[in-house]
Amino acid sequence: MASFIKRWIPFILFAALPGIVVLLAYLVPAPALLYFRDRLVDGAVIVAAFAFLLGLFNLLRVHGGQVLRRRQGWFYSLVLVAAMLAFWIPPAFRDLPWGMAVQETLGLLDRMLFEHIISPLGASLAALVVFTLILAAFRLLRTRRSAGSAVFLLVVAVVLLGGAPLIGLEWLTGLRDWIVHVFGMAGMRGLLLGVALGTVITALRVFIASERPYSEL
Amino acid sequence: MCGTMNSVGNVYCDRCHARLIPLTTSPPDGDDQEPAPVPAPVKGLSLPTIPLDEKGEPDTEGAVGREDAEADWLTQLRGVAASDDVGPEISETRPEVGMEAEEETGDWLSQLRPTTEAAASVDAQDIVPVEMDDWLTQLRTTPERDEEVEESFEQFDLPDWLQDKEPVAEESEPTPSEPLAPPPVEAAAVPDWLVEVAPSEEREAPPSPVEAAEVPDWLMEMAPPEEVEPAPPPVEAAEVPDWLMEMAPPEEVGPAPPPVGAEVPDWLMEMAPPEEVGPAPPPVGAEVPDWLVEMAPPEEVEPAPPPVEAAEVPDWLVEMAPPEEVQPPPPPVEAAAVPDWLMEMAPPEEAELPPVSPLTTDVTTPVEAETPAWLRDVAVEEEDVSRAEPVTPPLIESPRDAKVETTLDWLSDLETEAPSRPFPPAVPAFEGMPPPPSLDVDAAEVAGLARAEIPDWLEAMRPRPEAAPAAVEQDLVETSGLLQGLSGVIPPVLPIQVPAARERYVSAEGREASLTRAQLLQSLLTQQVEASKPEVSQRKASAGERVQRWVVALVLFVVVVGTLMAPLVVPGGLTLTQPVMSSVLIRAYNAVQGVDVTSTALVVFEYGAAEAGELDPVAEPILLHLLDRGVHLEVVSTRPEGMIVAEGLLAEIAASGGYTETQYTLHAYRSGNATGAAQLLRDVGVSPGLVLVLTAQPGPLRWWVEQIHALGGETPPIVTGISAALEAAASPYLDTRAGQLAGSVSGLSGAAAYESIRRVPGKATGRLDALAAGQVAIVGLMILGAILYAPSGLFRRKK
Repeated sequence: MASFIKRWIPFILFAALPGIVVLLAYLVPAPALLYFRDRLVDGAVIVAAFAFLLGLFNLLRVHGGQVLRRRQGWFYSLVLVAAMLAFWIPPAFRDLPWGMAVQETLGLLDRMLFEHIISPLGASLAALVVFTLILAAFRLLRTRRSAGSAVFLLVVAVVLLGGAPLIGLEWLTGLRDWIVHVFGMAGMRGLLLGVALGTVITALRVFIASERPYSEL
Repeated sequence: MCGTMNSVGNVYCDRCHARLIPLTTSPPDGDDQEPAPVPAPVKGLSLPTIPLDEKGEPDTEGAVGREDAEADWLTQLRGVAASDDVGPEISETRPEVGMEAEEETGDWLSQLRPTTEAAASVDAQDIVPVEMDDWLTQLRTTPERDEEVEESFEQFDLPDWLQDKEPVAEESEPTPSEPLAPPPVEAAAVPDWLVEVAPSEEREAPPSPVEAAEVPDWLMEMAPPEEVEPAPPPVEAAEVPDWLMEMAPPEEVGPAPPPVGAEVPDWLMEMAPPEEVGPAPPPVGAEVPDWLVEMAPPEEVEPAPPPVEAAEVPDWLVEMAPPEEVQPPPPPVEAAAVPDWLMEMAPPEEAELPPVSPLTTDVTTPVEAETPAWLRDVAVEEEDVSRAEPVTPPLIESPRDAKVETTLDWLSDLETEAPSRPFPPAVPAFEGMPPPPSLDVDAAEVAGLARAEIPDWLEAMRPRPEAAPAAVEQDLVETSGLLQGLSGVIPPVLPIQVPAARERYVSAEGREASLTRAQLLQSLLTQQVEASKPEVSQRKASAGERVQRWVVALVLFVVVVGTLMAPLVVPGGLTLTQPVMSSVLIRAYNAVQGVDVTSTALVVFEYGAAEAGELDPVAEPILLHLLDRGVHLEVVSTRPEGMIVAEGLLAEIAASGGYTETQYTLHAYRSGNATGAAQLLRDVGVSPGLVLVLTAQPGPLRWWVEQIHALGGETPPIVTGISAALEAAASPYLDTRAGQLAGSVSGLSGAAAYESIRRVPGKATGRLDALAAGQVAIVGLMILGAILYAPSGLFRRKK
């Protein structure tokens, strides 16, 4: 009896029943099923939000402990904790009834932090990716000399030049679109179908209790 | 006295076991003998035994001397018997020479005689001395007494089974040293219980001319039936008391003719050593019954029969004696008397024979058999205790006559060994039990106990002293605890003890080998740990690589920055690109254009600050288009930074285009990805006229498309503003046959094309030339790298 409760009650309550209800609500949009589906969706969103908070506090605990114990790399942990608190406090306390001035100040601070720190840093990281890709393409034939490498370089060149509708090279735009919407779409459809089948199989495994991501059993 | 009426032959009361016949003390024998000895304690039924205090008797009488070397355990037995002594009046006196037969037969027989009619009828003169073995001869007191006994032996009636033994005694080789060839003696009256012990075949054997002594039935039953002995010489049958007759089964009582002289039953012969019995049989005396002879080892019986009639020893007594210790029998002795201890062992009311201690008696004359004191003691104990015991301790004592040369060897050994040996405890030494305190020898002697000799074969049967040392080793006195002061306590043992055998097999080599293996294992584990550590190799870039990095960075910087700064340098700027209108872009434009102005557009910001540099120019023309059309924007996001990006972009658009914040609504961030998207689609409340998904990643694009189409019913058109890299991922949904996406604006070129359609140049149009220049520079670098490294690779292959 204990094994039954331990094994099947969580499965019924947290996997099979919600999954079937949500799935049936999509297939048979009955009001009752839609109601239970919406409630279950709300619960899932709340759980995800708390999971986000859990990760936040866990990060604070780990790096806060490193700072307090002065372990190796504690300074970077200190910067991380400070930045996290700096970017978390303004939006968290902006909507509180502090008064208009305080709220505007907190809103301005939040935007400045994002526009002058986060956005440039994000753009810089993306630019570094571009720079790295260019350098790798530059050395491609040095490390790997093959027809594939040559084709790879050729396709990259065509797509890049076709994406930039240079004057006189419009024909490359058509070639680029053909490559993207034929070869690219074919590959992407196969990938999406694989993802879809994997999602269905995972759902079935959860429904038949063959897979219990909610439990360690 | 209970007053119960008992039969005439009863010596003891059947009910209360009280003695019915008073015991009498034998009068002094004469001048040459010691006065009446202190009566030995006799309890219950016992055969005539030698008084304990007969050491003062002359040697000619064969008095049993006291042995100082008597074992403690025997002494203790005697002491126990003495403690249970019924009284001095019960002691027996050894019959003297010249005494009448009634006196010579001993008290026990004299007591029996008045109780039985047969005893009264038998004349004492009819008793004929029987041939006795040597070892039985030892029981004889003195030669003089033997002669007297020979005369009076006729009063003994030998049992039939003893009479049957006469031929055996005759067949046995006569000992030349034995001059005595006693005449046929009338068999003493043997009780029926002895007759029963004798085997039936023996009783059926032809009677000897000597009157057979009567043997009690219970003894007859004990005799093996297969033994067939020649008929002993006729011996006058002894009288058997009624109580013994009652014990004997009626069918077993046979008319065994008594042998010549008092025969010693085989079971007594068995108690004697076989070697003793063999050459022992005197020419005259009682014969040993066949069944007793068979019980004895064959080699003992063959040389045994002496020409002299002698009392035969039962085989079972002979068997109990170890063969190696058996010595040739003593010279022939006439007549044997049933010992008291045998009588004691057969209580009147008990049909079951108690185990009889092996006794070797040397009956040389028909004189009343004397039971040693130790046997009497044993008998006393057995009467109380040994009935339930299957086997009594092998207590054998043979009255040793110092002057008799025919003393058995195994008895002679006792003479020499017994004094030197330590006195063993009377009871077996049990492990963990302290040995009982030994009795004082002097005290035992004072008490009238004679020290007995222990034959070797009996010594072998004695409780081994090996067990005693073990107990002695553990006989440590506890010094603490509840058991303080106690000795012999089982010492505490560790709860877990490594078996000694295991330690024995563990050798130094094994330990070294184990140590070596352990060290090897430890080293392997250490190496494994070291190998598990990832080696961080900080390979320093070569100068060529550094040059390449700097060249690539410099080229990109110059091209992009130069293109962007060109309008500042060159008036009118450079025109490098021409926006291309794709079908997908046109469909997106038419979808936005087709949105009802009163409807609501759901704008999904699924990109962050890292993608904002590319997607903001993509989202701006579309949002401007929606705002220009007056569509209310419901802005949502499932990414934490999405709403900040949306807020900043919309604020920028509103500030630049004169829009108000009332035209759009910013919703809070929703976690849960696809679940959050489903909740956002539900919480918007109104069915959006258009869904604009702005993302640079395939995940949000996929789940938004899925959740919107999962709503069922009429789905709103979905337009995506995605990065150029995501165009391939969105292409499946852009297929016109699929219909999930109404249109898409991908990348900066698509945004520039969208702006060109709307004829409102924006950021995309301004950055398109820089993008094109940069992409051309990238392609140029790739070609340069291929040109540089392709030949070098060919050279390396040739080398």
